[in-house]
Amino acid sequence: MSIQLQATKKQDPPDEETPRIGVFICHCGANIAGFVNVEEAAKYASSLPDVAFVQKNLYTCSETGLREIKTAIKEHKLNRVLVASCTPRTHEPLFKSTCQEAGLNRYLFELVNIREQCSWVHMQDPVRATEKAKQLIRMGVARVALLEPRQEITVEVTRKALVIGGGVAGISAALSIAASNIPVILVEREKELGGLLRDVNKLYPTLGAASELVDEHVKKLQKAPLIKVMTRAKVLNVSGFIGNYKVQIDSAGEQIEDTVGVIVVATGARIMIPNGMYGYDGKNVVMQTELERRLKDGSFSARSVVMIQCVGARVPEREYCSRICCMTAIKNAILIRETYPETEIFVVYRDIQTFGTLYEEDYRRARELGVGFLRYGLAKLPAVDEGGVTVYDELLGKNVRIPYELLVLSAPLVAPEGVTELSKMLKVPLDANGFYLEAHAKLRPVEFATDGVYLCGCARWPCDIGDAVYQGRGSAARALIPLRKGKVYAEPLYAEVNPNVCRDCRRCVESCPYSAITTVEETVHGYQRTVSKVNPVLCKGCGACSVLCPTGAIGMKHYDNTLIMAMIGKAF
Amino acid sequence: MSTVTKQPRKAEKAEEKAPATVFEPSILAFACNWCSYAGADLAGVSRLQYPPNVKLIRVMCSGRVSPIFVLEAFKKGADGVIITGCHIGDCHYQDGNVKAETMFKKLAEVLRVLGVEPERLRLEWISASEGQRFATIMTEFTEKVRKLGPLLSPEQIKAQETGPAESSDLKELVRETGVYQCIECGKCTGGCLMARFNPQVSPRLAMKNFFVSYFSHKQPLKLLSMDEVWYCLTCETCHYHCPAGVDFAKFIVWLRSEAIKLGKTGTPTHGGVMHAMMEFQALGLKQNRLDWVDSSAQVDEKSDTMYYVGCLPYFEPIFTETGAHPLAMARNTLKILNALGIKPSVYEGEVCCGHDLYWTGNIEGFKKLAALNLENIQKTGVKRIIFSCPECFYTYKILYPQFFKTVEVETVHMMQLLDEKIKKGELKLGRLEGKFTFQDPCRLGRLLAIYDEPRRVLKSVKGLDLQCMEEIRKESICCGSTHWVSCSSYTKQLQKYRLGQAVDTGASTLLTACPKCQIHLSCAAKDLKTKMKIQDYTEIIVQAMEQA
Ligand SMILES: Cc1cc2nc3c(=O)[nH]c(=O)nc-3n(C[C@H](O)[C@H](O)[C@H](O)COP(=O)(O)OP(=O)(O)OC[C@H]3O[C@@H](n4cnc5c(N)ncnc54)[C@H](O)[C@@H]3O)c2cc1C
Ligand code: SF4
Ligand code: SF4
Ligand code: SF4
Ligand code: SF4
Ligand code: SF4
Ligand code: SF4
Repeated sequence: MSIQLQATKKQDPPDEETPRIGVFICHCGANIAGFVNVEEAAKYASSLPDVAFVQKNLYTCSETGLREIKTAIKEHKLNRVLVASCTPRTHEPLFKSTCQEAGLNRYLFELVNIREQCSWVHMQDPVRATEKAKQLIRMGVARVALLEPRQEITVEVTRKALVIGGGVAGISAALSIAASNIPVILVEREKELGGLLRDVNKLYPTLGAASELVDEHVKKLQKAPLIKVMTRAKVLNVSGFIGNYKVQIDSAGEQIEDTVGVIVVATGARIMIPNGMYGYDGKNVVMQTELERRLKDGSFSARSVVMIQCVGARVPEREYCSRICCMTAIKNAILIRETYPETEIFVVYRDIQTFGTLYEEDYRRARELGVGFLRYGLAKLPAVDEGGVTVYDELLGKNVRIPYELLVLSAPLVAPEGVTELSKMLKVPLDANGFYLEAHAKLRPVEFATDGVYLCGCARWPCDIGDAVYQGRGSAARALIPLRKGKVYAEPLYAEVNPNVCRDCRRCVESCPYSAITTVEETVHGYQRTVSKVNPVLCKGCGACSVLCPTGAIGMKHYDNTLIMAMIGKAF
Repeated sequence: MSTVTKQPRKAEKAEEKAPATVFEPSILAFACNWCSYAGADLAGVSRLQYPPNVKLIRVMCSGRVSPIFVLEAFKKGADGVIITGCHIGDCHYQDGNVKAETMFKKLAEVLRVLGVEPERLRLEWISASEGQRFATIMTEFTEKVRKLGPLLSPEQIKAQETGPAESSDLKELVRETGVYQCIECGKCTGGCLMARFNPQVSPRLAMKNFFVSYFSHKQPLKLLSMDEVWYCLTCETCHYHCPAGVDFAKFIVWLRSEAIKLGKTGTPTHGGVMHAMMEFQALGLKQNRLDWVDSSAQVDEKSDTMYYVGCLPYFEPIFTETGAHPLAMARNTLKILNALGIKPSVYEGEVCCGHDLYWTGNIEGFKKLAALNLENIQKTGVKRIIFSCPECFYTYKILYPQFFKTVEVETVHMMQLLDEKIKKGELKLGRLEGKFTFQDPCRLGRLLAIYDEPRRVLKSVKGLDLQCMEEIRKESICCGSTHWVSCSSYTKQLQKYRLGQAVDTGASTLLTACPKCQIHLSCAAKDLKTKMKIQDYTEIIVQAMEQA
């Protein structure tokens, strides 16, 4: 056991050699040299500790410039390189590769930005711009002297995927992945596949039968030998990380264990049952699913129908819009008016949310077909009695009572049972409503922050079939990147826990956005301890854990405190 | 080599006369790799001009900016520090900027108490497309800091560059701490609180290693692992057990000061902020350390009795999340003193006593603080100093005279004062039901043998049922950390063991008399989800006073 020491003065490089730093200062034509006295900066650089070689380049990134770096590394036995030029955001990879070509580890390189952040922004004051360039070089030298060689991390990816949830989204994802010749395990907890669509009659906007769509999908699955469908199945345990997830699945009593490279979450949603609301009884006051069933088996007979929208949605307990209910109500209203023209229908709504061209068209059609629409507000909710709904019409400024034989409640989709359990198992977050939370709503909508776990369909938030399908395919496309490459690479900029000073407080575990930290139990000289451990493949090097750790146990590779403190020490 | 001109800032004077030459402030900016650094690049590409006073350090995320970076920047000469990151909701790492914001609030409070004007530290969100915003903010900030003037004078910055600490005379030290006398009986290791939980710890072996290193290699640290140098709690249990009177803990202080010279410090807890904050106090800025004094409290600048508060105003913002309330101790102490008819002075120029710097081997840092405190005592002419913190008390009473000519002043710990006043019937205490147990602070107990006073004081509260833990007084178990280094699974086990003993007494509250015992044990209780309530004893006294 040895406590990892934080060097306050200077840390010896691991190879025990003293640093021999080469400093290359770029003119960038007149871009830098026009405002910074490169000559003076170079002279100053050569006076700095550990600097063995200094060169000015007209264009460091040109063929000539790069060749000069390579030659100097060899001729002057340089073991660290610093280039003072432009932003690392564009040129760092190029210079790093140049070092590598000359046999120097690419992480023994540092770039100092004296163009974007010096010559170009202090054009009026060349004297002080030069002064600042010198200070920046001094800070860079302090840092590069302490850098250690590092290797990129590579992980093999098991070419197999697990898809959890057998609704249209999950099926679409499984089919797309298998189409790339990659085996898939599709886990569905019910007896049959199809998800919510099992309870749906006809579909908007096509009015095809839902059962046909499900059958079509199932047929495709049967024709895909690479997909192993497991129904009445449950994921019992998941461990590991991208490329190597060990999964344990129980299917109707039979347990299997397997390794997969990626996991797609497609667990969909369920409808909230409006118990205790508007006299819900399942007979005369029913949900949209019950109406769909009656329309499907022909048992529908009501001569007057009222539908109440947003039952339990867009209220303080459930602020979101469930997105599919307006369309479902309009679809069913149209179906009824067409099949049973004598039946009167009123839709009692708060706002009609029919996005897109096709759905707005349906809304217009429903109005044409004589479906009545009455608006209510949260301040005065509709009152239901046996046989009638009283709605306060804001325009009329008075109550209107509409009789009904069948009252249909449009309740929102909510997160299905078991999400908390599964989200813990996968170490992925849920939003306030229990839906899964993607990494970024716009930039990374079908994946989690944790590498190798993806999501699609209603598991993310309520959506229609079209969305579910293309999200399913989208998530598959994302998942196929590591699956097809067969490898994932990670930059070696990760956090590392010094187990000798970790006290298992788990602040780091809770704060890591990528679930990169887990706790491990170990025995050291007969002493049992629980400490945190970072998975370098999952860690993105943000450094938050290292700041939060109360004991100072977490160091950051390539961005450690010592390196930053060394720069601060030379900044003034 | 810098063209920056700095005007010295008088430590005790708030306003500055306008300097004749234009003051060029040094500004350090931290920028996250993904948004703000790119924003700065865009400012460059668009040729948007801003003052060259600003220097940038790239970090992966604004959440990576450790408070120690900011403290270090101010110490080394920054007049302003700005942390920049992605806008909330846009963080490349989900919510690193939210973490940065939380950290920033704590840090700002610590800096405010230290006497760094809040305007010198800034947090801004700048996206990759906001080049103009970057340039504008940097210009504005530079101008604002320019108006504030320099934070530190060149002399104040220079004074921090201490040369190598004078090597203490080894022979003298060996004699003083008695390491020569060691008969290798192993009782120190047998009694060592750390060795109970960390099987590799052995003070006896450490001494042996030292001797062999010193005599065979002429390098006192050669055979010592750095663990051996830094694990020690300096609880002095070994000293108490040693038949030969060896003071190992004192000896370890010397080993540490040698290790520091080799650049090998231990792992400081809380990101090194604790030690940095202590060193910062030695710079002589005008602190804001008295904001906590309630208007109802009676203090008298001219009093010949001073209440020495210590680092409580700094601990407060840093440790509230553990459930500890360090400043409550200060407020309660004033209440008790007032009830006793004492109107003490509390002194803004007070600085940290230096206890922690001493025990981590930073003797130079310790001496600077001690000198400032002793100078203050002379300046204010107080006759008596009352302490609520056992460590400050010990440091003034025992350590200061070891390094400086003693100042004529009476030092009293609250426990002693309370004991005396209660005996004389000068403090009326009411009834307070409840089962309590008491944690002997090592500085008050093992190091100063003040064991009976706290017990008498607590027992004088009618109804208070004081239960004894299994190991008390000289055998008392340390709270887990004395000077903010090497907090680990081993110290957690120690704390678990101690909290277990407290639970076993049947008490519902563990009373502490040292702010650090309160902090560390609260931290452990929270970690371990123990029900035991940790409370400073002054709260009980004040409650009992209110019942009278
Ligand atoms: C009444 C009604 C009418 C609708 N009408 C239309 C329409 O006309 N047109 C249209 O486009 N959309 C319609 N929709 C919406 C449509 O049903 C959804 O868009 C679609 O079903 C979403 O598919 P999904 O795969 O994301 O989720 P789901 O269909 O919910 O499928 C999720 C599957 O995952 C399974 N599962 C859940 N948790 C687990 C677990 N832990 N382990 C294993 N399996 C699990 C579930 O059993 C389910 O089979 C309607 C919805 C309702 C409620
Ligand atoms: S390295 Fe950058 S600064 Fe130098 S010439 Fe190339 S673009 Fe210009
Ligand atoms: S550095 Fe960031 S990503 Fe890496 S383990 Fe720490 S918190 Fe997680
Ligand atoms: S935050 Fe630090 S001490 Fe706490 S578990 Fe993580 S590494 Fe260990
Ligand atoms: S002072 Fe305490 S921790 Fe240090 S060696 Fe002695 S008994 Fe052990
Ligand atoms: S107890 Fe004292 S005599 Fe015994 S080994 Fe320890 S230091 Fe030596
Ligand atoms: S016990 Fe808690 S408060 Fe004390 S040093 Fe350790 S982490 Fe910090």
